[in-house]
This record gives sequence, structure tokens and C-alpha cells, in this order.
Amino acid sequence: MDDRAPLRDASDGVPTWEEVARGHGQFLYNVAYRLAGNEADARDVVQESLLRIRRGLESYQPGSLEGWLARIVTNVFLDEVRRKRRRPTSALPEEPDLVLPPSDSADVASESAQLSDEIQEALGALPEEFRVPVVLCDVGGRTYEEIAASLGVPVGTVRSRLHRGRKLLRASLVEAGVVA
Amino acid sequence: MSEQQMNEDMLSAYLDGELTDEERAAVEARLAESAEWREQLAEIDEVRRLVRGMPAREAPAGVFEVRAADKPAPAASAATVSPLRRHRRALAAVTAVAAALVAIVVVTPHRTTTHPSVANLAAEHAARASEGEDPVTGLAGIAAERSGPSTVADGSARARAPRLIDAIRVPATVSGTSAPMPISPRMAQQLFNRALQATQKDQFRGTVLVTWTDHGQEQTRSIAVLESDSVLHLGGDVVLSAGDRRLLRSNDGWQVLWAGAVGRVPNPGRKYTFDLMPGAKIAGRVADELAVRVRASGAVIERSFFDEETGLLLRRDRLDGKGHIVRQIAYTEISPPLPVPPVTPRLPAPGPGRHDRGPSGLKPGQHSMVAPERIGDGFRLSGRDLDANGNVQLYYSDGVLHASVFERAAELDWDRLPSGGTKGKIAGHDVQQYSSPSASEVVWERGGTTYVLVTDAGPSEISAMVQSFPRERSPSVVERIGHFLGGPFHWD
Repeated sequence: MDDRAPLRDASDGVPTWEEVARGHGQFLYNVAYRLAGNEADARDVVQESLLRIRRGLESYQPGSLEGWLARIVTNVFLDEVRRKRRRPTSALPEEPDLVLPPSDSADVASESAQLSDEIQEALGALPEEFRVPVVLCDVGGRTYEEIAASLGVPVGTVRSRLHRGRKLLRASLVEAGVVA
Repeated sequence: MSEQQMNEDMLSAYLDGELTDEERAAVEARLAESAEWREQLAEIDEVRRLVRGMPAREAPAGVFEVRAADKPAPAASAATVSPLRRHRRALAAVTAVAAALVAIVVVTPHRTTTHPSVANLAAEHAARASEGEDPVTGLAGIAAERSGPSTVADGSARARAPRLIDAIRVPATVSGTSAPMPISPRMAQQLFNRALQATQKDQFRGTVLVTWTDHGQEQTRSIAVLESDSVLHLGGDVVLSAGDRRLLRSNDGWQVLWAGAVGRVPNPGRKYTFDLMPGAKIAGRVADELAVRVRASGAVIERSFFDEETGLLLRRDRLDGKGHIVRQIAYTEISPPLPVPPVTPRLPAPGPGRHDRGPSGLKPGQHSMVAPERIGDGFRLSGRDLDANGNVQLYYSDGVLHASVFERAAELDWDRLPSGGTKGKIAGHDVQQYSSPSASEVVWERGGTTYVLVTDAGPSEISAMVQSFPRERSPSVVERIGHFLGGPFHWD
């Protein structure tokens, strides 16, 4: 979907959560999953993001809709990380992701699932300050400027964190034997 | 830019297109002189591609149903597992068991079919084969393929059932008068390296003529070439080449064909010898001719003509081993003097319609398909990838010629194959053959797996390669079920 598409029923140009869910839900979920690393947390991040949109907690400025959504997902994810740090608990161990047979449209997904899982594991091991720029850039397709706005840091910081994140990721993939 | 301002963070920004012109020029200058930077760039590029190549996660059902407006979401107090989440997990576990049972019931009688898009696979092969080689002669065939419908292949041509790959009627030689000088494979490689560097360094424009035969009829396409600011434009921007990226204009935007890293390639000296002859004339320029001969037979299978002054590859001929040219890409004009003023490259921005996913590496054992280490006459496996469309691409080379074999775990739907092919039999397999401006393509099926061979090699080489596929091993029932579960259903 074209993220510059006009938004119909919002007088001030703010999309409704229904519009977001319908047109950009897949984008939202994909970014959330790559940040959170598992389905349950990704689901919570997406739902909290939609709630924030619904409650009008995030101000929308006309521009790239997916850039705005990426910022909301990032904020929700980082809030969640901070909350967990403040109140550490011995939460129940996460169950592994369910492996369901693919639908016809799932296409490529399961063929490269194993490789994808290994990369996801390495991503999950990255500290959040590096993981977020990598996911926003390489999964969310966001520009450095949008990532900088999402994180409230200068573009130069995004540049260095992204590069360091990729280097750490590579080291982790080398250790796992995924790359030579 | 001062030395202090240069730091390696710029390598990521370089790959992401996030540098200013000045910074980009500084990075490129540093890359040209520093092997360490080049190595770092390749490493970062690899990890970047891997992350970008991860398939999208499909959102589970119900995820977008927002609960009552004023009720805090579970995420807001997610320090412990909420009853809602526990309930979801239990439900999901039950669903998974049920789904697995259903899958077993459904799989057994189901037969998946496929109908490969031969042109797209040819483009993927060309993207890969052109890596590390001159991109103009490597990719002009793809631009020709996309530049318009085939002009011949009428009924009368088909009725005669001529050989698909036939000689074309261009002068067999334009060589100078000097005697051939035998050179080493390393020296020959240096000529190609110099051509690649010339393509990346110089600004130039010109026209190449792509000539090939299809159904016994000679075909030609004229392709505009413009190289500016390290971006190569071919065929009015049908194909772009920038660094190791190959971008192809498709119906719904730009398709990015990453040229995957090519592994170890056999020493071409084992199979071929090389002769250099100066004094040829191509497009009004003086050129050195490099002839590649099969060591065993002495037959010339390739001729390349390098501009004496700049090193650019001005013409490349493929021959059938009997002295006939079967495919040729040659400049008919090129801008003298080089270089021309730069134009701003028009690299498509990321966005809707751009399939920005490249191949991802497959590890041994990760995929159960057949992948012989060697096929045909001295072709060695040098790359094994899952492409963006879910095809396994096996990339082979004999040091001079290249071949890709695409595998898909599905039976071939003969009726839905692209038109324009010819049915035949190769090495005991029923095949459909195509001849395109860039390569020959052969499609066949065996044991529930569909194969597409794409190669610039001649008919006898093709026959030997097809014979190598598959070895006498059919997928087991378990693998077949695995293929079904993981199996893509359509070629893109």
C-alpha cells in the first residue's frame, strides 16, 4: 500500500486505528516481531500501539505514515523493555513459536525459516540500542532521519549505532556458524 | 574530507545510500585503496542482506482486534503473564496440534505443480554471472529481453524445427593481422578485471547491439548504454547496475536482483587456453582480441574484444565450438572521447512495488534437494542460495562459462510454461528449451522436482549438464512431505 495514500475519515489527517490495522497491520506486526523476537510479545506491542493510536496518544504529523507507525512501535517496545527492567520478574519461560503449516500464500516463508530463526536469535541478543536501528532500517525500511526521530537522537548517533549493531550481529552469526 | 572525519560508520551509511556526495566520494576513494575497508564493506553488506532477506512474519489471527477502548492492554502490565495470554497460548497449542493432524491428512494426495517464469530466472542468473565481470555484456541480454516482444518465431520457422541455438550471420572475425600470442589464465583474468574497473570508473555512453538466434532466426536488439556516477543504465533504464546490485524494471516497480557472493571458481586453465591478438577494430576503436579455446579440441568458444586505450570490453562473442557465433553483444557506437559529463543516477528509492530482497545463503543440509558438486564438463558448484522467490539456485562455473540450475519441489505444469519454447529430449528427459538474448534455458521435471537450467554454454555442454541432474536419487516420502509443507506454489 502506498503510505502516502490520503486518509479518508480523519478530519485532522490522523488515521484511525481501523485504517492502520487494515492497511498497515502487517508492517506493524513484522517490525514488532523483529524487535520483540517472539509472537506473544509482538502481539502485545502491536495491540498497545493500536491502543495508543485509538486514544490519540501519539500525535501524527503528515508525512510518511509507516515512519510514524515505526516510531509508535519503537516507543511501545522500548517502554516495555524499561518496564521489565524496573520490575524484573521470573516470568514464565516463553514457549517456542508455533510451527504451523504455511498457507498457499505463505510462499517462501517456511523455506528459509531455519536461517531466519538463526538471524532472529542473533537480533534478539543485540542490546536494544543497537537492535532498534537495525530493525527499523533493514526490516522497516526507514531512513536514518526517521530512525533518529523515533529514538530522539541525532542522525549521527543512528549511523554509528546501526553500523555497530550490524558488526555485533555479524559476530554473533559467525559464532553461530551462519556466516563464515 | 579530512582523514579525521572518515570513520567506518560510513560503510553502513554508504550501503544504505545515506551519505552526502562528498562523503560518498571519500568512501569510494578509501575503498579503492584499502583492502581492509573493502573486506569490512563486504562483511557488513552480507549481514545487511541477511536481515533484509528474512521473510515477513505473517500476523496471527486476531492480533489487530483492539479490546475495549479504555481497558489497558495486557502489554501495559506485562511484567507477568496475563491470564489472557495464558489462554491464548493454550488455544494456540491446541490449534497447532489440530493443524498438524490436518496437514498429514491433506498432504498425501496433494500434488503441487509449478510453471517457472523462465525470463525472470534468466535475469537472476545474469545478475549473478555478471558479478566480478563486465556488467554491460553481462546484462545487455536482459535489457534486450525486456525491450520488446520477439519479432520472429513465426509458424514457418517452427515447422522446420531448426536447432534452437544456431549460428548468427555476423562476420566471424574482425581480427588484426598479428599472430595469436598465448597468454596465461591469470593474464586473461586481468583483462576482464581491467574492463570491470573501466566500466566503474569512466563516464561513457554508447549503443550495443545484442544478436542471438531463436527458432533458427536471427534476432537483434539495440540497447542504449549510459554509465554515470558508478551507475550503469541499460536499455533506457530497463536494467540498472550499481556496485553489486542489479535492478530490473518490472511491471510493478523495480525488482532488485542481488548478485550473491560467488564462491570458489575452478581455474579456467584446466579446461581452456587463451590467445591474445592485437589490432582488431570495434566501433571505430582499436581493440585487443582474446580468444578462449577448449584445451582438448582447440575449438574457440568465446572471443572478447578489449578497448586498447581504456580496457573497456567492446564486444563479446559466444561460439558453438564449430566456429559459428551463437550469441553476440557488441558496441556499435561509443562516446569518444571518454568520459562524458556525469548525470545524476536515478536509483529507485525504496518503496511500494520494490522487491528489495536478495538471495539468502543455504547451509549444507538445510535443504534436501539434489545439488551435485560437479556437473557437465568441469562445472563446479560455487554458490547455493534461496532466491527471493523461494527457488533454490545452484550456481556453477567452469572458470569461463556459467550455469544456474533452479530447483523447485513441484511437478512441472507443461501447459502453463511461457510460450516460445521448443519441446525436445535431452539426456533422456522430456524438456522445453528456450533461447533468449542472454542465455539458453532448459526446463524439465523429474521425481516431483522441477529444474530450470540457465546457461551461456553451448548445446553439448548443456546436454552434459542436464545429464547430471538429478543424480539417481529421488526425494524420500518424508522429504516430499517436507517439500510440500515448505513448498512454494508459484514461480514469480
